[in-house]
Amino acid sequence: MIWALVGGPLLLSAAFMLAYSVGLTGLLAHGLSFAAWATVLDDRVTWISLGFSCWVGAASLGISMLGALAVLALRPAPVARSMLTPWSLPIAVPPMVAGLSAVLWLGNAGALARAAYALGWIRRPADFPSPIYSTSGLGIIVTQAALVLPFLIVLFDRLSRVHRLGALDEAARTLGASPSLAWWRVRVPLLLRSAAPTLGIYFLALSGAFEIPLLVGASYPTMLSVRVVQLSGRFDLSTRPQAYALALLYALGVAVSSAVARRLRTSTPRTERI
Amino acid sequence: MRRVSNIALWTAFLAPVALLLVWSFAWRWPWPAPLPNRWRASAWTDLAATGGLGAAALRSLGIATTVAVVATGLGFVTSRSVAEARAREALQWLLHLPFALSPVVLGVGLEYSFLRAGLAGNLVGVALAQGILAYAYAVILLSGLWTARVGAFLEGAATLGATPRQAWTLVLLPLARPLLALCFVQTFLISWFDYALVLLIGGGRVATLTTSLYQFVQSGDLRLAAASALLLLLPPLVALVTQAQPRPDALAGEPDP
Amino acid sequence: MADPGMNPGLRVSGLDVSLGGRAILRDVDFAVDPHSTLAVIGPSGSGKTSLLRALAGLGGRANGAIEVDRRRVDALPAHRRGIVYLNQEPLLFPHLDVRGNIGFGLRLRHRSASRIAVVVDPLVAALGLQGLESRDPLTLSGGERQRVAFGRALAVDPAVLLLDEPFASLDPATRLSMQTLFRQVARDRGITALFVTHDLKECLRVGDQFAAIRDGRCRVYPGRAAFCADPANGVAAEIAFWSDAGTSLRRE
Repeated sequence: MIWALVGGPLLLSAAFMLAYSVGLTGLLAHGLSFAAWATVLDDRVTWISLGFSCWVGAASLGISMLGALAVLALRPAPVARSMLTPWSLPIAVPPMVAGLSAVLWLGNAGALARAAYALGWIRRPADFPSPIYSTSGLGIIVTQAALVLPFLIVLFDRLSRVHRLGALDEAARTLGASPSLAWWRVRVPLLLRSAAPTLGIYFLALSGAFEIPLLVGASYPTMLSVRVVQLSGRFDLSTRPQAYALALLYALGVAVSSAVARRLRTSTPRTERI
Repeated sequence: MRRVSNIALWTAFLAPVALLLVWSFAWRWPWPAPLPNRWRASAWTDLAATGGLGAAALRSLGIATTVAVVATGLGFVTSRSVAEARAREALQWLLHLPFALSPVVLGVGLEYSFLRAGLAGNLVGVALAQGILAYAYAVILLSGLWTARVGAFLEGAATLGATPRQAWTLVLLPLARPLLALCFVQTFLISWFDYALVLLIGGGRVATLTTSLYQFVQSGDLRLAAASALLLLLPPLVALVTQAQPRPDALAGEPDP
Repeated sequence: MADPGMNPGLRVSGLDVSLGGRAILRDVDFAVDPHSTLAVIGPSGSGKTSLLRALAGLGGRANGAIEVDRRRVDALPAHRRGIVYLNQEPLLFPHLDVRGNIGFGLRLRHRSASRIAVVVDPLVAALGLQGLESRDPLTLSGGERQRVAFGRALAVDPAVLLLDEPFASLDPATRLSMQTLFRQVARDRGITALFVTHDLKECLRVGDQFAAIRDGRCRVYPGRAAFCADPANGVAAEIAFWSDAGTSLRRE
């Protein structure tokens, strides 16, 4: 019963995607064929999208992690307890609003560009080095990093308290470690190790983002999720089997990596878990 | 130091909101003017008429409330069997998948089966698709409720003479109330913020705040896009203000992600 | 000492207790006289808690007869046995204040507010909780919490009260005062109780009758002297330790 409720929709959609991608169902079904899979696996764009997604996920996470560590280093006071818990990541600020704000602030005609003009730094909108629509994904990365930063601050702050990192830090210093040595050799490694499972989930979510890339990303290269929707063909149905093949590949990758992450987490000692 | 960083935090949060507010009143704002040179409040005064923004907001509100009520209710009733299942780890993994996967992939996967079931392109289908996501979240959050401690509370009530029904209404529900409220808010927001599933399952025939926002950006109407964004921010702000300081409750559990 | 056969408050015969398919206790036989306390000693993990839970009807499997005031209750669900189980943790309901916690069981029985007050007020006084009536349980000290839990159990006037090391987590001074309080309230109110503990002194302080759980068996003693005479209970060792200590003290 509970399995049907929890797993049913996932299984159903996976089964449909599989059947569609091998030509067993759908408007264009011509019997069993692996052509769509072959096309997807053979397509350079698939691998470019994969690489781009990973790059964006890793860079967004990396920047916000550095930011969170910096904030914690400057401001050791506990962060107020509030609804802002790390788990709220997907749902605290709508990605749509974050994307729009990025355009309004960082775009070529955005608030910062106008400020730069007022200061006499640029003369035309095109002179402003806007990260929006950049092919490097910088706009997506900056927006996502800003969105995730508060959650990482709260997460790191909470982990520091749960694992009493302050006391460990003090212990290291009574053993002769300088404050900076204690920070880099004790606090940061312990923090990152205990946050690793959550950071892994953040990485997956950031690489799979959809709305922000849609609003601030370039038309090429695209993130995997955007690529899947493009292929699923609002106008052209012929690429739909490829969309399902790609979506299944992606789902498989995520399912396996999250299973591995969970296994790793359960094998770490209990006290290390959050 | 503390005050400076607090001011910085507030600025970081309020500045984007202020800019959205200015944009929502900007009738003409050519480059490189620092402020709009023509202002108009019509995005707000004509909420019922302009581009159907008010209607979209009401539709979003209706869908999100339905999703939150059903997901929280069903999640509460079924979370116990997840918490006590032998294969709890596997179930938890399954429940986390839709989030790790990015809802887009779930939407693409559901699209075709919903189309065949006649659920594509209407409100029920959109709510159902969002409900799948929200239900998974509700179960993850609420299975944290079924600790040994809650079990002991229920047993204690039973030995004092509480019937199973009384144990639920007089002990479990009051104990779970903070968590249920949190669950309601979060599942409401899952639906409220969702764009991908409305796009894929609604197929352009269901307009919510998020799809309206995207439409306005596409058509270059940043004034209405900004107004949509502010409307989108309203419920999370209300939730933040009302839930900012939860009672230090021994039972306030959170699922570890 | 009253005759154990006469109108027992709680009578257990041929009780087997198992947990998760594993036998914990076999063939338990005892009777607690009305208005008296059977103190049961046993090391941690000996099955004391399992025995109490079986008597209260909470989980585990129990085969055998359980009678409360000559009425078989072993087939009844927990809430209809008239047996109140007092956990080692006070488990006060966080959504109710002190008064609400004590009156909880009466609210279950749909008593009016005034009738609840008639029961709760004297209990608050007897347990020394005056002034704390509207406090949030989370703000109470450990001893105060345990007294509220005790009051909550007494308010429903239970036929039998089961106490599972209720004072184990308290500091020694509070612990002693709680034991004294328990004795006094138990005597004043004529409570029939089963009190399990791993602490020898607590066992001797609170009990009228005595039993010990060891190796899956429950052994009942005919009286305090018999309990103390059994070397397995450690009374002799305790006496020897203190007399040695006394001797060396005197020598110094």
